[in-house]
Amino acid sequence: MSSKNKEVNRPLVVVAAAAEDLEDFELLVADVARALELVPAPELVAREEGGEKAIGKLLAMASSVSGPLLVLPSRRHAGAMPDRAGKARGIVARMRRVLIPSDGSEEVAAGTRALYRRFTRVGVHVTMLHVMTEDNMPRMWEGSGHHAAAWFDELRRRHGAAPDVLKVVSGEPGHELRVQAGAADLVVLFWRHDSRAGHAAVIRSLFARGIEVPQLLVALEWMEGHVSADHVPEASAGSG
Amino acid sequence: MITKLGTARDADVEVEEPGGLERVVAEVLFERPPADQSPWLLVVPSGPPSMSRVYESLLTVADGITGTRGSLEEDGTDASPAVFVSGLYDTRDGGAESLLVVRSWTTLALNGSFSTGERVLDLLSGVLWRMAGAEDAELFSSARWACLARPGTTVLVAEGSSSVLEVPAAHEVTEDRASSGGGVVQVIDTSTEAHPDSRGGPSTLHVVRIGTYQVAARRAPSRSRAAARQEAACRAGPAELLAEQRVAWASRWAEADVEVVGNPELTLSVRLALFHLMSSVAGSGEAAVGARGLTGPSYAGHVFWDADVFVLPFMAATHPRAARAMLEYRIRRVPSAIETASTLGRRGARFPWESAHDGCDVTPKSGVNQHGEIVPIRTGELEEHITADVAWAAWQLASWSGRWRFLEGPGRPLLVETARYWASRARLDDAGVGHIESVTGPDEYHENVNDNAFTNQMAAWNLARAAELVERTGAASELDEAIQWRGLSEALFDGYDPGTGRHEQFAGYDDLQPIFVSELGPVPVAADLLLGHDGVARSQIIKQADVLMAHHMIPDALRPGTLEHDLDFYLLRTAHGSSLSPAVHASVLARQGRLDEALSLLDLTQNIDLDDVTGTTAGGLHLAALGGLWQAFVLGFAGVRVSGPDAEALVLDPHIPTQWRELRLKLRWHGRRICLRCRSDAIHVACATPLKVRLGDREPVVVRPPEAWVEREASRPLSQGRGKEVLR
Repeated sequence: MSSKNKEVNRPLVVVAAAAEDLEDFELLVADVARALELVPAPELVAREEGGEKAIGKLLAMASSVSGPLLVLPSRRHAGAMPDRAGKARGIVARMRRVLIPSDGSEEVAAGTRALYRRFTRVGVHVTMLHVMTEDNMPRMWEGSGHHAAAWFDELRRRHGAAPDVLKVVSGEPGHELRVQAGAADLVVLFWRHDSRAGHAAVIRSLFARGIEVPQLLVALEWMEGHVSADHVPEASAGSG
Repeated sequence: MITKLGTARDADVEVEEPGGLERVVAEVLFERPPADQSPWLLVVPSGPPSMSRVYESLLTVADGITGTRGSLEEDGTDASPAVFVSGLYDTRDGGAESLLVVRSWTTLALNGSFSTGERVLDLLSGVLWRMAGAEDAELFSSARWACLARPGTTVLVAEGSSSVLEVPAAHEVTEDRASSGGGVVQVIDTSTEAHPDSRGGPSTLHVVRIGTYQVAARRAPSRSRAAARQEAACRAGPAELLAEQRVAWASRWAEADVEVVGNPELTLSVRLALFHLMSSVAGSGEAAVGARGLTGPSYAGHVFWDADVFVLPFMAATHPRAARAMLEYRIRRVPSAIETASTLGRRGARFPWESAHDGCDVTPKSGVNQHGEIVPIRTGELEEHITADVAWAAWQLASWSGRWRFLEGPGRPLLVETARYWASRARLDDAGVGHIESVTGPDEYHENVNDNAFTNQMAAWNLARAAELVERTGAASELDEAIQWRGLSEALFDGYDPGTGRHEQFAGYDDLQPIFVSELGPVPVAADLLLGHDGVARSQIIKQADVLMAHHMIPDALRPGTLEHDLDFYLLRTAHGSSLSPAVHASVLARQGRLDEALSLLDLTQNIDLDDVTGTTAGGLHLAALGGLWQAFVLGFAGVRVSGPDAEALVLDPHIPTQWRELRLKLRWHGRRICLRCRSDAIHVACATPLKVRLGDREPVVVRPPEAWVEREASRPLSQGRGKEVLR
């Protein structure tokens, strides 16, 4: 891949509230870095879970770094969640199952395709989650059966996903994401460098309730460069 | 002349002086049209990967027998290349029949990454052109077409730098068999020449590929016949085949064009629709026209009412042989429909909601919903109006052609056996009122209802037309049956409520939760996704035209004066969740003179595939929406009305928006080729023989060839050929 050499020594900024959190997730951090061909760059940022100030600080950090930002849960918080306690102690904190939510937009689909390839290449099981909302649902729905099958197939193809990878739910994106995140070791969140609207609003709502699963914030601006680099062998397929 | 075949393996490439393949390729590529704003050219630029499959559907080239998606020659992971053969189905994984996919003829080994490029589909000639390059240099160009003059023959001509294009293989013969017993033999010959660059750069490759698909529906296809056809095509060569192609398409357009003068974008949209309609239906034998035609795999190539109600009228009015082929598909499946009725304890013929090769119902019993969950599908069981729709389609051909012969002969069972079915299906109550219970109408949000107005009215119409036919030609024994049909036709409850002056969509509909669609959002809106399956069923929100569908299809059979009431009521409740809906509404709104509303829904209709409104155009074009678009222009805005084979006059009642200078149509009616220029106050008629025309409710007038204007107020022909001046 032509982008490989360029990415060597590029940092994966890892944010943790305490050194013990970094220890707990050491293996997972290494897994993510390996999949993305980045070098971990841990940073300790004291934060109050769910606090608006802390969220703002995280998003500001994500805006300032050139690559993805990996935000780790804190042991203190995860310890309060029985099903997360094991992970927080570093027992199962590996990246085996990744959840990638998509709103179906062109840019997120392109980012999802690229990350899907990278994660599956290192043996990670990826679930793509499409939360259908009033804003992104098809304007015409001709029914279950043929139409739904065609729509599913096309949505899956646009995300470059293998069959059975795509899961579609309806509802409020933040809530649905939290529900589905329970089965994942890592959640990927695409966003734009605008901490107020769109995807950032979903991220804010997630963080506001406390971080239970490691979350990888990926700026679409960064992804666009990497998507095109990843996409070289197929670039002509989308050209006239 | 093809002189030498090259192969990828042995690099057996002949280097020739100009005058060989280079000249042949140059001759064809020289014909490439300029990518201007012509309303005959669909220009598709480089697009995002998500649109690649949508473009493939839009850029399909087909000849009624084969349909080839507009995939790029190099395919790639974003591509879904496929060639479909009309009427050939296969069973996959033991499931229901799906349209057979055979090997594509358009693939080339292209290794370049092109930063520029565009494709142009020339609707006038049916040729797809491609130009691709990088940094201002054109590295690859191609032309491809499916030969309308020789259905089953395909041509690809390409020129490319050897830096990006590899020499393709030379001669291939493959065979695919359908589960139905038929199959297709494909013969492809590829000729290649390399021409060195005099300045020492990469050489230029010239490629000509000619292919033949020999199709047999029920037996093994003939290899010798395939070889003979292929030899003839190769002998003709691409330049001659291109010339044939131009003539064949010009001939089709001469009887089918629609032009909105002053609106080239709309003209292009409707021409794109007509192009794909014409491409999707063969003009002989039997034509199984699936919901996506030959443009994509969705809906498995199954034949729905989309074919009979939305596609066939266009064929009947422009290319009757294609309409006849579509009806032949139904005629050959009458025995299966009779067996289905018999199994259900009925008489006559009950056509299936979805069918493929053998005419049995292939509607899936279950499918996935928007969450991927398995849910039951009951359309095959309940959407019985298809049986009357088939009868209506047969009547359409007779009405447009002005001949009873088809209905008196091979088409007779399509009216008579269907009437027999309704006679055994309906129930008379103690008061002598006829009811049809447990059906689903076109509005699939409300399943399993009683006395669906559309179904009852279509059944009543079916019974009356069959009685008319039998009274004309039937034996004495059948006349008694015809009397019974007439009686039942009169007795069937039509849903009309004198209190409201409109039709109730089905028994109990008015008691449902009265929600206006505006409460859900702007149309179209997928109301079932918002409210859920049960939620829409409890509400008055409807998916698509239902009562209004009857106004559209059988306007003379409905009570006078009810259209306006029905429009006012149901428009507010229609979500247009189906691609079939907006065109029908545009048509009836235009007929009623409500032009702003009609234009809004016409705009939605023309963009269903261009804008991928359903999110499924990648799986093929919505042929019913394309046919509906034509109907909106012809039956709606031009107000053409065909009532039956005996009609003495062509009836028009144009309602032309002020934004359009003129609506121009080409049609065949009662064996005549007619060119119409429609304005709201007058029409210009050109025809080769005298033609009786009725404008609105005026007395008919005779238009004498070659042409004349007919003014609405006077409803009389004006000065022959000088009407323009008169109208000023």
